[in-house]
Amino acid sequence: MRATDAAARPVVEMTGITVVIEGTPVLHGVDLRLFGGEIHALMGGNGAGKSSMVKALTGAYRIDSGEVRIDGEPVALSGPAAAEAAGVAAAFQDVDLCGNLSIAENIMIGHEERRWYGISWRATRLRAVEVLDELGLGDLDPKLTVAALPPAIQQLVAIARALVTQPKVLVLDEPTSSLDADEVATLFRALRRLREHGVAILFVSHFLEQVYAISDRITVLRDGRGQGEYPTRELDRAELISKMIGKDLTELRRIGSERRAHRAEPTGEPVYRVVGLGRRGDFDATDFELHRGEVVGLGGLRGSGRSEFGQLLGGVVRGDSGTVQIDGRKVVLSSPAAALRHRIAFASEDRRDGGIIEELSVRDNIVLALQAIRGWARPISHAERDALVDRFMESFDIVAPGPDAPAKQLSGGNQQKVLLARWLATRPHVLVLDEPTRGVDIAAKVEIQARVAEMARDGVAVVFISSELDEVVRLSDRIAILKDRRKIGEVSNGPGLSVDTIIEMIAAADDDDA
Amino acid sequence: MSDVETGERPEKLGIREVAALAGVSHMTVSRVLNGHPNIRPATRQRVLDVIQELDFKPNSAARALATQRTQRIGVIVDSAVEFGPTSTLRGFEFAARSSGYSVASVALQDDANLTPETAVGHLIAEGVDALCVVAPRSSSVSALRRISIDVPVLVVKAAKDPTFLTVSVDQQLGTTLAVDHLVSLGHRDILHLAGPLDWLDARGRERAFHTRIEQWGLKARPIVVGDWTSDFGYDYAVGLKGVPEYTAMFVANDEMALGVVHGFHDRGIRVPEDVSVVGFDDLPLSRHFLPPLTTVRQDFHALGVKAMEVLRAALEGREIPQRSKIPSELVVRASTAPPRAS
Repeated sequence: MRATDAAARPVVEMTGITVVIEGTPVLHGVDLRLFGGEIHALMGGNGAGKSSMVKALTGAYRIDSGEVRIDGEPVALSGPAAAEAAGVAAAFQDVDLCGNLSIAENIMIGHEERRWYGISWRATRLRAVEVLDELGLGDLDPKLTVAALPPAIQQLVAIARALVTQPKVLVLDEPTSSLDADEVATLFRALRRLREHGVAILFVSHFLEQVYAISDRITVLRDGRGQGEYPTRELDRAELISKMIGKDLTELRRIGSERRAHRAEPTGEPVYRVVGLGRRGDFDATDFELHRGEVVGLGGLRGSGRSEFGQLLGGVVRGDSGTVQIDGRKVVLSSPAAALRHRIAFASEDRRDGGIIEELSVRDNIVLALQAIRGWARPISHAERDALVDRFMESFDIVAPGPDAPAKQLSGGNQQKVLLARWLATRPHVLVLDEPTRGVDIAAKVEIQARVAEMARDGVAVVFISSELDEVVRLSDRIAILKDRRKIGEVSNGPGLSVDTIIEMIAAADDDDA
Repeated sequence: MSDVETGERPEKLGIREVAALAGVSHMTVSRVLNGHPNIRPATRQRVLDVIQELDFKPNSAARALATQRTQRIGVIVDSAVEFGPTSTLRGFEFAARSSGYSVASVALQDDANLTPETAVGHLIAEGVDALCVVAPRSSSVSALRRISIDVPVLVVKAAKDPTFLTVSVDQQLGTTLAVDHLVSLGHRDILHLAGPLDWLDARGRERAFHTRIEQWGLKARPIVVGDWTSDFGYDYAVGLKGVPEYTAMFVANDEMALGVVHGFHDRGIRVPEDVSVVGFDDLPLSRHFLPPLTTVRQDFHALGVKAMEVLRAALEGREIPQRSKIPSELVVRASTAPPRAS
């Protein structure tokens, strides 16, 4: 933790930055100040504009209005080369190193030491070692090939490459997303060294705890707009969260809490149980149980891993650790189809890509999954199909010109209902719903919520994922709290629970007096 | 409630009279009054005894002039209706008074117009040497963080803090003792009835419970979140369909535990034969529950005293830890027993 003299001049001062991409503004007058010897976190959910801001600073996006000053001088960041010349260097999320080249070659690529006879590899290596030394990696053999290095060191090599030009500003876009805890610690040690050397570091991340561990100052973005700059030590986690999600905490405290009375504790054998299920980089190994007729919500912020965990539970993505049991029997969910055969269905967040096929009729959309598990060789009879489609169109109150109408003619809410019908037609025992109400109007939302409650009454075990915590609190019998890609606890729903409870659990620091 | 010394009382007694009676120099008396560290405890005690005997009250305005200090400490108490914050305040007032400080306290309530900002402004304007904030909820700490304050600030709260001095009862220790007690009796399935999680102590206990359960490799049962009241505990317990699957409950405060025990009784569920119950706080009445409650004792009085001690050390420029904890202890009574035979 270091205090920066507030009067000190920022190295970078971006003021009123607006960027328009294909007619759509992605940044609206955002301010960002970076100080030398400081680590500055840029926080925000997905789509908040973090990457756009990074692209504006590194010259990848054209700035439509606003001003950038570096060391007080106005500069035009007209392209990556201009940004580099102005002293801005970046190491990006996707480590784009050449695995088969040496460390030195990777670091010095494009900046090799040249002599009259061509490249001096000796001098090049020496320079690479100098740069590595700044990161505390002076003892790393620069002749090693990059592919042989662990991910954290690869990440540091990528940073070393950015440091070759001796930048004033180092931009790190999600540098920790593929690192484990020890590797993050290694990276942070290196960043602290750089900070001591006076480099201004922009750290883009959505991991709350990491931001609190490393940053001196935070700028929050939401929906392409700045939500203010704060010294990290003066900004509470709960307040940061409320700025990121755009709801006042007191307002959040009012929402929710209208709970049904106490529910029964789930008893007996779970229908679905995972032990140590996880996937490196996506979600930490987790135990989780589901009982018949239960709605379990996943409560977490964007980036907490709630979709990733849902995909693991739904068998859409295969875990690299853990076991899965259905009715006490061990099974392997090798593919979404295998999961479906085990009566586990996953309804995707994105109804255009993973979900609704717009060109197909409502009828075909509904029977799609059922047909898939029956196998294409055993088509569903017309009579059965029509009965099924009629039943769902009626019970789900799907508003459509008719079962033959292409799905694209339906409103978002009705498309969502078609999608629910599709998965329900497979008679799942476990149904994972990822953002089933996103982007639908309030009436459709209420209807979908009612359907979910109904499915649970019919005995389906439902996993409910939503970015709207009040919806999670309203629907769930139990909520698994997710943070930084792991489950930090579970709460039973009841009269004492509100959206606030979830927020406070997420906001509790790892080093609280736990 | 305000307890500001006015100093209007005519002064017959002075430091010199106290010094003469105690057989020390007036400088020594002055040092004792100002809480200097380098005085032998026996001497200090002698001076304090004389002061008490004479009912001597140093003139605070005069002393403020002499020392540039007001000898007054501002206390802001959030949620002053609850047992913990109120008891802590009493302990603090006691310790302040016995070391020659007066206390100006302000109670914050949820819906009142009095914000933490105005409370701080009010106390600073009145002239205080330091601020003690009894901040059991995260919202009061958030508010405090936004205000810039020139005097030393101590926050009585469970979590450590980058900015403020903190003093707390060790929540982790207490929770660990409670869980370990149940585990040693043979319990393997324990339900945690938590307090409202915007309370830092509730959060501390919940996190510590979670950690300890994981360390023992026990079933991580979903917690239930309550609101500290006995009614909540009662409603929860009578709402059960029958004897629950779990064999023990760790309840985040004694009041809810009282309601739980009552509710179990009305439901025909026996404590501890069917379900063991452990509370937290050790209220004076907890030993008279039926059955008398096994609980974790928090010494709120000692907490208040400790807070004053740390603030005084800060005012005197002594080395002090950023975070102080006082231990909690398990009090085993009759509400816990080995689990029922399954």
